[in-house]
Amino acid sequence: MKYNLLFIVLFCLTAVSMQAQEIRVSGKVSEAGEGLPGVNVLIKGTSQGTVTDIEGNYTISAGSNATLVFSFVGYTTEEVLVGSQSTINVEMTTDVQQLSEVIVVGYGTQRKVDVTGSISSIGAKELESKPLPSFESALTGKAAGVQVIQGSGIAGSAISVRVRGSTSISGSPEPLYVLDGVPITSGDFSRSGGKQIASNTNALASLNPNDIADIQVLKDAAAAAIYGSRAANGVVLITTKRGTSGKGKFDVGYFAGYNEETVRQDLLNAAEYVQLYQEAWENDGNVGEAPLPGGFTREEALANDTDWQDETLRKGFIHNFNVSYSKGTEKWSLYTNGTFKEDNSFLEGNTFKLLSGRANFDYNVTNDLKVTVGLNQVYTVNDRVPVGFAGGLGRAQGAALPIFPTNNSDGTLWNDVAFTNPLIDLENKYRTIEHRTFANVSVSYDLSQFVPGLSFKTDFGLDYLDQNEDQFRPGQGTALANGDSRNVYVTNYTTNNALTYNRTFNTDHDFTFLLGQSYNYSKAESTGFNVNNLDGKIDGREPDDFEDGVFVFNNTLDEFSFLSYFARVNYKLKDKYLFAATMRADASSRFGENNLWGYFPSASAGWIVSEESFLQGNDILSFLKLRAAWGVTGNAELNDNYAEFGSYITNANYNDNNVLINGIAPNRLDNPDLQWEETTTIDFGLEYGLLGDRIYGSLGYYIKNADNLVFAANVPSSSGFQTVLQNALEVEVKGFEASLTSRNLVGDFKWTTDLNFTTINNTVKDLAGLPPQAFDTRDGGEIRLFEGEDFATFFLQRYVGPDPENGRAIYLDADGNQTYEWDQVNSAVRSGSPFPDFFGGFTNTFEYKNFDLSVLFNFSVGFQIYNGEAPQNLAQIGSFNQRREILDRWTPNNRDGRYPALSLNTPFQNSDLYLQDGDFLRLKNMQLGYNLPSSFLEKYKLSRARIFVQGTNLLLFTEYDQGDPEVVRDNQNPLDRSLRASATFYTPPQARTITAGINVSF
Amino acid sequence: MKKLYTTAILISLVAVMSSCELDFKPEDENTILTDEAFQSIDDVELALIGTYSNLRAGAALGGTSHWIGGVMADEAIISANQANTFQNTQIVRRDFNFQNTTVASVWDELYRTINRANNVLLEADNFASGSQLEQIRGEALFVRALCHFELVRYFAFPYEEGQSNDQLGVPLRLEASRSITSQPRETVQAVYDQIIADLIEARGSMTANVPGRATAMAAQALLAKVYFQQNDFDNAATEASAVIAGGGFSLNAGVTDLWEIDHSQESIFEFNSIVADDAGSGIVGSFSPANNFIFSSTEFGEELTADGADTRSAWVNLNNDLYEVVKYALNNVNGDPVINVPMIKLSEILLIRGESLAETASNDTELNAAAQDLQAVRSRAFNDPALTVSFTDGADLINQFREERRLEMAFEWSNRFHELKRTKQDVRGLPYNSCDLLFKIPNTETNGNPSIVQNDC
Repeated sequence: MKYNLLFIVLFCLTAVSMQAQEIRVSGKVSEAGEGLPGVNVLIKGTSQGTVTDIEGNYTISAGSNATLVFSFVGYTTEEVLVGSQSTINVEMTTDVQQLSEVIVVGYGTQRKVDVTGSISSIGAKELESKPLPSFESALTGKAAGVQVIQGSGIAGSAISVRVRGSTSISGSPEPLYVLDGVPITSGDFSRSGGKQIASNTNALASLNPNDIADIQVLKDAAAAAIYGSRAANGVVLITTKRGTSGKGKFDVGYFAGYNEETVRQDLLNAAEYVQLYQEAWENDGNVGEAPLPGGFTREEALANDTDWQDETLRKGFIHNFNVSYSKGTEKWSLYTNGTFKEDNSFLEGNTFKLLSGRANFDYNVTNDLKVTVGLNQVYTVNDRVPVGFAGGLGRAQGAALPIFPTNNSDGTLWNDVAFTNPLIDLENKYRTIEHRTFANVSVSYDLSQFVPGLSFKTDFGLDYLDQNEDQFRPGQGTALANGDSRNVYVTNYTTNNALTYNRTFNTDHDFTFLLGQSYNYSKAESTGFNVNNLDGKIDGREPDDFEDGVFVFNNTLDEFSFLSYFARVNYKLKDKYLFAATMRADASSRFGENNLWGYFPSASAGWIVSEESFLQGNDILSFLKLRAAWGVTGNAELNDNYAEFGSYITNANYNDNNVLINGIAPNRLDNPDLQWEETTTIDFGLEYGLLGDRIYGSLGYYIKNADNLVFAANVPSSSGFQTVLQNALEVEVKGFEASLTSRNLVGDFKWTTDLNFTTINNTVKDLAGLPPQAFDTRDGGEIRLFEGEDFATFFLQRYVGPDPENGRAIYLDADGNQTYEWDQVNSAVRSGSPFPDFFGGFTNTFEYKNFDLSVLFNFSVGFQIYNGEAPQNLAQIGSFNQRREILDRWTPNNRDGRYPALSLNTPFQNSDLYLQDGDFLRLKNMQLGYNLPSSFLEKYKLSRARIFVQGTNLLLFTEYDQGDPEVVRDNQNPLDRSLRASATFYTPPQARTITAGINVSF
Repeated sequence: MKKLYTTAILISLVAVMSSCELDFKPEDENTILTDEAFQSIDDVELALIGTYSNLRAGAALGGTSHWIGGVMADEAIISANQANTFQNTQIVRRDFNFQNTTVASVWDELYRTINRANNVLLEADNFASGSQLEQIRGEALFVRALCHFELVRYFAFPYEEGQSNDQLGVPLRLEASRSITSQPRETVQAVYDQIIADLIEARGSMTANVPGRATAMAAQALLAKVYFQQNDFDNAATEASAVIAGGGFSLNAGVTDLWEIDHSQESIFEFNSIVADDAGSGIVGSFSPANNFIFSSTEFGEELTADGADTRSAWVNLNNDLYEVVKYALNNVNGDPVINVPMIKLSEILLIRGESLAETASNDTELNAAAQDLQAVRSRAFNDPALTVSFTDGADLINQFREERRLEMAFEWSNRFHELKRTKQDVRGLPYNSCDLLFKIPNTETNGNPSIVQNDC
């Protein structure tokens, strides 16, 4: 009864307020006399409000007892009681520390100053109007501790994100992505990963960057441990935009431009090639005219003189159109967006198109009950072409010789049994179409009427991915044309249910408790078939539509699930002493029966020193917060959903007396002890503001110990099994990260500098007795792991130079003695590391009147790149075109050349000749904008109009001369992805993109 | 109160959601759990099928085994544009390291097959009895012996008759692996002893005769081949005679009938094939001229084609100075690349018996009797029933047998390589017992079994 009474009282109060006189209030919001556009003006306690116009003016209807709340990111929120005023002018003051800013944390929100964990954020501004291949690339150079590398300029390709270094080997090193509270499907669902055409797809590329309000990267255990066994590589929380109250508002944007490759290889032309081929032939002891590959005569060869890079590269065209509309009332709000994007990359034939529609709807059913709905339907078409080892540009830079013609005399494409024309590679039509649905519903129920401070929230999220692949491979040499069709359906749903209790006692003691439960289930199903002797793309045809040559793939099913319970308590004493603890328990279908449940605690504390009396009013040190945290997180991305189960395959077929029988055979050993990878993190942080917050930022130091790292370790293969996924290895990361924002100039001419940098020191602690070469990903490969050394070591034989006497390559053996013998097994030494010692970025932003300019540089220092194709195209002239550097080879007249004498029989030999420092500084992004003047806006009834030009990857400063140093190799298998991160193999370069566009709001 | 009910409903909703299923089993249609794999004798039979499936893998006995020794010896070569790869360079140069994946696959696939066979032996006891059990055991033992035999010939120093043979052989895997286990290398003697013991049991326990699967005769023929490899001529002749007398086999009319006709009258044991088996690394794919991989050495091509009357001269084809091996591609005219892989044929068993008899002959009568086997094989090859064999003495006859065997077994099971080792002749410039001729134990083994002794040369 008590509660009912309370309810009646509340109702009456509401009714009273409703009866109050509505008056029309207007005014101007300004800073230092300048009108401030875009300020939210809200009637306190409601979602009713408006936004100031370009000159800072607003008008709103409000009751006389209403309070207006003026808020704008970067400014202190002001509150004014309306009373009898009809004009309310407000002067905003900057609040650089954004004391009142609330950010999204795991299963809730928190005031930014109260956070005791380590979190990096970026806002919508970094995501809008940029030619991003996928939203996560916006983090490049922007977040301390987060290394983001776009794999290449391939449209729709994968992006590598490493939060505070890399520790996983067989397990995935990528962070967990959570969209509006729901973990989403990420990764590559293409057939056999990138093996088909040497480039991966990226399931995250279907998320429209225009829809994102902000991104928080949870970096340490205090912030991330609430995500338990899935948090060890960091958690990326993505929050989409929601409707704002006020009259309907349209935002329309369009940009278009072109892109091209940042680096092109300098290769020999036909005349040079023929000359050097002849030289190699003679060096091999032959006399006379060398027969050229492909059987061409000298005249034909010189006449052909094909620049294959010209044939496979183009000037790409990119454009993006988006329109969004938002509106809201006291009762509801709506955000909708439609986006069309088309990225025709610089690779001939490669295009990624996206069509996305989103509606986010919030509805206050009652004062206590709020329902939010998000619905996003995306359609992408990815036309893929072979690159790297699969052909196309990769072949154009290697096996396609300049003496080959592109076409036969009859106009058809030239083809040969022994040599493939890169243009025939491009006849390979590989189209990946994705239909993606992100849907989530949440219900929040304020239970304050029962227990003051208590609320309940439940949400349900679905991420459905339907991917169709249709590949046509033309016949090459004697092979028949063939192709395949494959469908993958990934259903991923999550429910979260949590109670939150927040109370302040005696004004000094502020408690927040969170108690919740979550369940996540994902299922990937695939079907498909292959057709031999195909006449064109499969294009929707079914197996029955073909007469013969059809081979139906096995249907596959891949499931996993997580059941989780979590709790968090935050305690704040006197608004300056902060304490937090979290606990998460996870059970997963991926864990062995002996380790079904994992427990992930964290504890952290913070002290806002500047709130102490001895620092009050200090002009120099305006803000200071210290924090420390400890916690345990896990990585459950073990690369195999079923690794715990011993199993038999049922398709070990044998033609038994003319009947094909599917036999059974042991496939995997039981692994009941299999568990998550476990990372224990200690984190220290300092957040500061200087000179009245003209300069602010943070410093952090952490030690991350990752243990029980899974590795598909060789068991003695004489047992009949090759590998078993085992929790075996241990890696430690120590790092320092710093970020700084300095508002160098304020006033009419504004200049702000943002800087962040990160040092990473990865050390291998324990290899469980496995020898270094157990981590070599291929024969005679260049990567090893050694205990006590850097995580991933290049391991190569040292090259000295050609013997001046005879041009033979001189190497060093392991003891440093000169030798002719190349022996990658016994003579290789530690030569470098693929991971940088430090990296970061800095952004300078300038504003003057209506102009704004922002310039982002990123850099990476202290790592090596292994140019994996160089043993071919800086040595094997018999089969590969050579880079022009090869002209500096040994000849009797150039006895101190860099490269040995040419031969047609040089084997593929890795050595440190092909290893180089990869340090670079890059002008990553530059944008110049102009806000059209208010006279123009008024004329066309616009609230905002901005035109801009933008460029990405405009300048590069590096001594690396073998290609683009911003590389990541992730297209083959987990070991390549994790350890050979900077070992290239005809990897396409980044794209340089120039775009211009306009954004209009009305 | 109504709101309290609402709350209660919400909370119970949570409870329902919490009772979610966690313990998923793989439902991949190609996978079953180990615990559920064996329910009846039918599953044991399926496990035996699965064993044959891998026995004929292209990476070992279905493909690689037929060319790799030939390349290491003087029978076959790798095409110029594939000879420079990491693997192939080592094979050509006989300079192996533990990272050679071609060699690793030979090891891995043979041991994978052995484990499958051991698994059948283990489960057969649970579900079968009597002659059914005998048959299943016999087939599994045959497979196990065949794999150990192939392994010991590549990874260990050759068997030396009359010696103690305590040089390191290969690990003997005689039990199904149900957890991670390591085994040291046994001596060459112990490995051969086990192979022979397995084959003797297999020979005596099989009664069925299913084409493409092991039979008592196949076990006996393989036993003859094993004894012959040991230069144990008495036993080799005895086992070979039993096959010739009791097997119901007879020579085909033509020298290519063996792979043009499935399970021809001459075939003692062959692997059945489907399209996917033979393409790529299978026997057809390896030798197919279109794949530009394995060719005959010039020397052997010339030898094979020296006498145009020998129908085996059509097994190679001179094209652009290269002898293409067209032996397995002859019936490709139909566009049907499927051939069964011949493993043991009567002509080889005749040559084993004849040479063994010649080795043990003590008088001309016995030599003349031995020569009959040579005559049978040679007259078929020359398509001349009237052809007779003449020889000056026992040594000459033995040499003729060896030469005949070289031609008759061209590009089959790397016969040339194993023959040079058996007869203690140099293998393309290296002594027959050179350590360089041994494959290195691959890192798939050494990484997990660091104490295993490597073939260090």
